[in-house]
Amino acid sequence: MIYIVSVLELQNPGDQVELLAYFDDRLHIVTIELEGLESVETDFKLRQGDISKKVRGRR
Amino acid sequence: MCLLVMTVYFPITHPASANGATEPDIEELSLQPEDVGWSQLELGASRLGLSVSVDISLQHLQDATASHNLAASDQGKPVSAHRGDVMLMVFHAVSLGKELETSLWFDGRNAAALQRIRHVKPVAMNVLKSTVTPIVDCLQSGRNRVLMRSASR
Repeated sequence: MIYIVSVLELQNPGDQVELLAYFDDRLHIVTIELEGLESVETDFKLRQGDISKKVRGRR
Repeated sequence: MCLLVMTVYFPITHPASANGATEPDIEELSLQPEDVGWSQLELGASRLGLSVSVDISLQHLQDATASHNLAASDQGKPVSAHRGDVMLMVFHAVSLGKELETSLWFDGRNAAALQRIRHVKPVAMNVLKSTVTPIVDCLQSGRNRVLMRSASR
């Protein structure tokens, strides 16, 4: 799911993808839908190659 | 955290057409592995003395490495990936005195699962238990694909 969400091109609210996922010994219908964009409080470290920086605040 | 995603044909049927046949309203999901914007995620949280941390790494494998990694199965023909598009995602979690490592191989073009290996290790006892789960293609030919329906409202 993390990978799929990383590469999906959902751009507008309401854009969605439906797929089947197998876990807990059964198939599930999973709907991934973009409801909209909102900012959240963040606190993480971003590393790109040898560069590392702290990212904190509302994004 | 870790779901085994086995993406398969997903028919979304429409009312019968003029000739009586139903036609699925679907498009095949086509993902671009090169669009992934990260290669490693580290997540952690703690509350009331309990803590959990999860490290997730993602690799795009060379064909030779992928074929060396994937186990053979005597239960059928394993699902195969598009050439050059095998991805390996490794989850490493530590919580409540246990380490859990899950390695998941999947097709980067359609996210179809290929194989999963889980290691559970009590941190204190250093005892290792592992299981290997090849994903066997028990579905009909051509149905081990991810299909996607796009809808804008």
